[in-house]
Amino acid sequence: MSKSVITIAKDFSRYPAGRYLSDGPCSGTKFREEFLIDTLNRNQHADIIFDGARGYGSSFLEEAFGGLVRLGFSKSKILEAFTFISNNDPTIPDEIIDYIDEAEEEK
Amino acid sequence: MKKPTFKQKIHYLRRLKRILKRHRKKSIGRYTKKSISNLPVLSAPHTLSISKNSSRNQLLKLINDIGRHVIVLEKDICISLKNIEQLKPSATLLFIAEIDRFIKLKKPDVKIKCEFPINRKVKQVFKKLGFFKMLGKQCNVATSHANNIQYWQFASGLQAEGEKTEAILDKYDGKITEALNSKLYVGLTEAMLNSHQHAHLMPRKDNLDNNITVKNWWMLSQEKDGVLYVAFCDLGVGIPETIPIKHPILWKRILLQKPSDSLIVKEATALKKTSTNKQGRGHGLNQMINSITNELNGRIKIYSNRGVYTSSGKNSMEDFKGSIHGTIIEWTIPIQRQEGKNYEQISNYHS
Repeated sequence: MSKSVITIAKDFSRYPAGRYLSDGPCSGTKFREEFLIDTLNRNQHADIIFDGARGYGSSFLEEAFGGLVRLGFSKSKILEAFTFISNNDPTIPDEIIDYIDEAEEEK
Repeated sequence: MKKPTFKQKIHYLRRLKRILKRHRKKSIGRYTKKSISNLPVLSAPHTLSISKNSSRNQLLKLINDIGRHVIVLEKDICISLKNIEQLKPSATLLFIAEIDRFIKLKKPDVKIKCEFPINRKVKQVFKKLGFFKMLGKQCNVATSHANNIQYWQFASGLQAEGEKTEAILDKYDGKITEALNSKLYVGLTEAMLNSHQHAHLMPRKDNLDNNITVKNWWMLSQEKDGVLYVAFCDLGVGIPETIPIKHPILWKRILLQKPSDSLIVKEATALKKTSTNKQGRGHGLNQMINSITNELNGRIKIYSNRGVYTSSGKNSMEDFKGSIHGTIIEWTIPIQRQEGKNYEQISNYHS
């Protein structure tokens, strides 16, 4: 399994916001489609670095990661594929895991 | 120098008379061209505020009158800002947003003119916020380098466009904590998203009989005496109108009580599920409130239609007679802790 690093502020946007593509230019759906799905489909591993962006609303995080579950990826596969690194706001990894759990419960 | 003869004196005098006459005619001509005396003049009140009944009613009446003249009657008007002496951020934002909306809705040949405020600071603030530019009016007043003018910022947009928060947040990089900066970013972008997704579900009930919907949002900030005010506005149908449609279960619960607009807003802030009943969605308002009030000792006021719900150390609800026909979220955050300055003192700025 090859390993890569996704620094959201640098590789995607410093201004993540919104849920769907129609919500704005840097939505959770866009991030999921451009970065997460590809990593999962190739069975690769990526460190996702959250520091450096302005902030992360619940809509963005839920759609990006909870949305993976709705697309059929299991929690174990997601957590195996990604390591969440957030030094500035250490609550983000737990928040993401909550969204993944909630999306799984919903299935 | 040779002394002029009597004849020459008469000639000079006649010439001077002719020049004066021409000059007077020119001035009158210029005055007539610029004159707004033939237009209906709608005067703004002394204070722009939506938190007190009397000034709120005056502002809402002005907005309604402007809309009726410009959109329904399709008449040119002049807005007189002469009397304005005091500006509260949320009311100022509402006023500017409504004028921007009217400009977008009106027929191109309908003109909105304005008379400048007499108060120099008020004039400077309106210039800083781009109000005169919006109306195509030149304003030569220098926007002073004094803090009270420089700390007013303004932006508007259509979607969840995080980059637009820079208009406000960029000024505070390194000045406020990264955590506060991030909470404000999240609050503002979630508000943009709410506006984009929910605010325009049906036509707005402002009696303007207009089929076009302006789906913009507007925001401004002001810093004063160590307190940062940020206000975000959408001119949609308001939270009390969307709840019965998007959240029928909550609506049934609200109906068991006396459903005032402020109560509906309060209940909406506690929502954790979306209209689709999917977990994890619809955290926006809830997230906005908790992070600012619990973690940063700030205050949030959510004005929607006739109600306002305030969340701070003590929460409160209030309902007014007039509706703002939309939603304004107002954050009040102390950014400089001064000894002996408690929250009650900070809250006085907005009362």
